[in-house]
Amino acid sequence: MVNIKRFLGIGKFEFNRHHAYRFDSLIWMILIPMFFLVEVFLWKSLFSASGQEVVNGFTFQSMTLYYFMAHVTMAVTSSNLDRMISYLVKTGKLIKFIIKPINFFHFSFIRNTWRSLIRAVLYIPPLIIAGYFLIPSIDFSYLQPHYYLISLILAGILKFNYIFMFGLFSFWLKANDGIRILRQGIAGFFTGMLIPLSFFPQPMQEIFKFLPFQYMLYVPVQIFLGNFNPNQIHQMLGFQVIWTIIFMFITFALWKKAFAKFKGVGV
Amino acid sequence: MTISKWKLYKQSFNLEVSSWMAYRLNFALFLIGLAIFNFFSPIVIYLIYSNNLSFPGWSLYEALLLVGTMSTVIGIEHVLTSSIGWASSEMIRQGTFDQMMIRPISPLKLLVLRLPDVDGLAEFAAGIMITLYAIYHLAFMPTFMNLLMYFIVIIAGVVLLTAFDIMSASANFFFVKANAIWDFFIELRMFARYPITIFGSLGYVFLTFIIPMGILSYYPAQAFLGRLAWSSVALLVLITILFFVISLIMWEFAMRKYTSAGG
Repeated sequence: MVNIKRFLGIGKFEFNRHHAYRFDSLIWMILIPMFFLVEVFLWKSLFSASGQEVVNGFTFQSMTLYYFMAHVTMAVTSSNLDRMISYLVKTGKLIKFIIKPINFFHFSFIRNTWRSLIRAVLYIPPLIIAGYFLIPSIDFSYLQPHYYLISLILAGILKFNYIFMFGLFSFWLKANDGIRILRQGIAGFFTGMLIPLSFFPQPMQEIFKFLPFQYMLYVPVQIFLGNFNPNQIHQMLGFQVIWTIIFMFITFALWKKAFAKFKGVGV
Repeated sequence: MTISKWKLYKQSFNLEVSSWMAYRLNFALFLIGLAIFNFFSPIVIYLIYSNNLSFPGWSLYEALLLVGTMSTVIGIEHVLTSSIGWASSEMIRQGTFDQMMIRPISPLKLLVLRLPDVDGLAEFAAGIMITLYAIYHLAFMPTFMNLLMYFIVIIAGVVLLTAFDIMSASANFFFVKANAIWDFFIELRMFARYPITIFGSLGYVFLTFIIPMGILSYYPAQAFLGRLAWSSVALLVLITILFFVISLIMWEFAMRKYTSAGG
């Protein structure tokens, strides 16, 4: 059961933490629109050099909107939870969380939710300002913001479970910098953050459908852009739920084994 | 570098390798992950070109030469001098930087000598592989002068990144609780992933003189392809020296203002 007092308490802690490191937030508030700026210039140059109006189903306008929404989705769903778990395991400080009257998985989920909300509040407004100047006029009639919101929430839960699972590997590896950088690489590339997945060769796109990565970013953004019909949207949301359940199942199984293995000495 | 300093560097290098080797699987995965990261830009460029798009005036392999060179420059800086940026910020926050100030060698030199970042070798190796792959497919034979210019601009790129490391370290003395200053300087490299001409004439000037990210990739590639004059090389070297001098002035100023965060 969700305990409101507990939820708000963790939120207050996270807010204070962000406030203490507000200069860091300020830097990322500048950097994220800068990434978007580079992408807009890149595709502007590519479209104008090719003379084509539409490339792989994207016009220049929808391409800029794709990257805009990719950054919004990334801002909400990104997490460094695996780093935190690794640190707690390595230093033995995990014991502090185990003896608390709240399950560590629930605690991490609430903490992650608060971080997502704070990141959304901090990073989306500067993106909107950049988008106002950089995105050509938008035809809102094609967009699917309601379905996007559902897909975004599912993507957030899916990604949380995926990253939590990677964090649990540190019970066996102790140092997990290596596996984390691999995880970040996969997330950056196969989720469609760097380039839309429709630019990959057709056989690879078919493979991507059976992997969880596109459901973390590419699918929600494509839903927003109106590139799926209602049947396809329901199918995609279904896949997001299935992948979330799969990762939840793996995470719980791993947690049981990891917890049995954990030893905190002298902490 | 005197013999004793070389010995110190060698021993620090071995120590760094040993510390990574305590978690071998982690080290192997980290190197693989870092190398893979460096293949992302070339793959994106390959996907762009395979979808009948291109950077104006750049063939696929010329564009790959550009990103390969960027990874090589970053790889060299990563191994040799990146510790100035990341280690100093950690030390300042933990209050251990004071130890660096009581040694019989300047803290800046000591950071470089004591903390070589061996994982940067993966980045360097990836850069070399991408560059050689591009050169092999280019079917272009650069002259000796082109190669000389190419290496000069690469060295300028490494010095420029070192200047940014020193600037970020200097800023850390004032903003103790700011991990992201170094991130900011690292992420500015996003402007070097593609030919700087895509940013228009204003962006071109900005990325040559104000934040000269073109020195990391665009200008060395242009030098290799014989599209750069010696006067331009001299100008790029001058810009780099200017940035390096400014970074040293910032460092000296920061050191004078430094008050320990703990200890």
